[in-house]
Amino acid sequence: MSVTCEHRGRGLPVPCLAKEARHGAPQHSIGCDPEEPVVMAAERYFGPDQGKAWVAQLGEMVSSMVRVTITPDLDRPAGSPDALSQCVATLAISYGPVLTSAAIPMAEAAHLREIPIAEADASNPPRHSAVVRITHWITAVSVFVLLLSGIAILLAHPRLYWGETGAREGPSLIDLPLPFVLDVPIRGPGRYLHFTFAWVCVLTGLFYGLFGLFSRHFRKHLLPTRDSLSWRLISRHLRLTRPTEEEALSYNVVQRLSYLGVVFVLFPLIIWTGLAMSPAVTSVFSWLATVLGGQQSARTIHFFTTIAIVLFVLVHVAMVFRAGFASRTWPMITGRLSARPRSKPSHIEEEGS
Amino acid sequence: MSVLLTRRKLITTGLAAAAGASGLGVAAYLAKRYNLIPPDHGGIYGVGETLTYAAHRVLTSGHSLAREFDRSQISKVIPVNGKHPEVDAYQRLLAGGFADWKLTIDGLVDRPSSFSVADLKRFPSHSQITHQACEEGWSFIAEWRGARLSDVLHSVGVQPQAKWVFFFTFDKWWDSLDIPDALHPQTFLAYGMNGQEMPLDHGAPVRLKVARQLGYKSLKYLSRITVTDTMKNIGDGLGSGSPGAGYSWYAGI
Repeated sequence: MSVTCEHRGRGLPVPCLAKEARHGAPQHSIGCDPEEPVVMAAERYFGPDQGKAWVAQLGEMVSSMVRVTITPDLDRPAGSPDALSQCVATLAISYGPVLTSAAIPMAEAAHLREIPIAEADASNPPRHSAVVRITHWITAVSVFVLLLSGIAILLAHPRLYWGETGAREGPSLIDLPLPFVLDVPIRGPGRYLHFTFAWVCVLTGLFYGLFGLFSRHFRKHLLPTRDSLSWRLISRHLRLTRPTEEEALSYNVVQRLSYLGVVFVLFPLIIWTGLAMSPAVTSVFSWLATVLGGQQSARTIHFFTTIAIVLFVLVHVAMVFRAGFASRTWPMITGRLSARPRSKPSHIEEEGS
Repeated sequence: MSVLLTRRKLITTGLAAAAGASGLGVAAYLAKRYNLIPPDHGGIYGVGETLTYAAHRVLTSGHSLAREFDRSQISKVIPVNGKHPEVDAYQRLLAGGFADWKLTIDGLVDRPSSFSVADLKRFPSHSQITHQACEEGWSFIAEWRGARLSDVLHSVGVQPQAKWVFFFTFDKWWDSLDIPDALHPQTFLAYGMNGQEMPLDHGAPVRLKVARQLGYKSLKYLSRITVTDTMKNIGDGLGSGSPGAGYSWYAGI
């Protein structure tokens, strides 16, 4: 069995359609010829009225129509379920639920009525992979603990310096408006806690980094596409224009740049500056400290990188609330878009609404 | 199909668990074999502490030297952290200008001995311009002068089974170093600072200077050194008074 997708609008290949839909720049929407197999299949599948409604709705959702052709493979026993679910899954991953929902009636139309379709899976495709979800939450917890223990450490000496050295008796770069608190019971354990969770965070980050490289997660989901790097799009997202459901299925350019900044700038920088404060580590790699201007400079940069990460977390959480707390948090826990498996025709109505 | 999957899952999970467990076993064996386990390896912070210590020991196994600085970088302002001890024994020595001060070295050594300041000065004199960085966040750079602890330990003949070197002070503190740090060329029994005798509040007459660790490992007001192969019978067995107070025994970061 093979699945081919063909753009019906201007003869563009399907990935272009996915792109257009994602960036919400509708080119044109064409109606469906009632003689088209997709319409016939839909009417046959949903019934005449429902089918027409479905086709109309699908036409509104995607900026242009797609022809999905499923050709049964004659070498295999007709309707091998593995092959079909593979095709549906491929479609689901590549083009999101809209196209998947089109694939199901097409599969039906291809005389494969007997085949059980893993429908909940197909119409509710994975949003975040297991590795992304697990590393996300471990990192979230460790950042929280690192922040608290970091505050306990900082309170012993809430003054920042530039260069190699600095002390209370000498000049400072910044006197933070915080008290000097030496005698809090958490101060010592704060260091134990800080380094324990630093290991948790660093090992999780290494695993995530390797996964992101080898699974192409970074390239596919975080690297902005070339044509999305326009000021028009960036400023549109910065003004928090509400995305369409289709757009919301993938990170927008501002999200991608922010996540890349956190993953490839802030986290490496905070690990670097942490290590640059270590007399043992800098005995091997002295440049870790000297490049930054000295051990106290590293401490100051460590502090401001923390502030940057805290600001990111605040904006990130605010955006999650704005976009809908449950609808964004649930996929990061279960990996799926929705809490419940969707039943056959109803999911189409929901998605269009 | 589901039965098959379950069985397959069971087998792979079992294999992964077995591989993980044996991997941990091998790691634990190697860590023990190569002395990569710190005394405060127990409890909830033990795993992170062991990772830090083991990683640093592997990283610095080439006897790396702590960063040294130019004379012009010596701090103009030298912070003082705590006053000299008020105990009678120390006050008496201070009154006599430390002429009667003796540093005892015993334990797993061939010739237990005591050294006066003058005795220590007869060892080759070395200096280093290094950081003294407090875990609180402040730091200064000073020139430290003294005898290498390794020279003094070799002179009394450290026995091969020795694993730890303990230090006791007049202000009732105690701490220990592993052999790599005890024999490190920048580990000094320091009697001079910035061209003067060791100032009173900086550890007179002799303090420890451990350049690759944070300030709190460089004990002031030394009174006795003991070489051992176990930590068990000293204090709470954690190698130092620090872990009991919430600070790690190893302070390389």
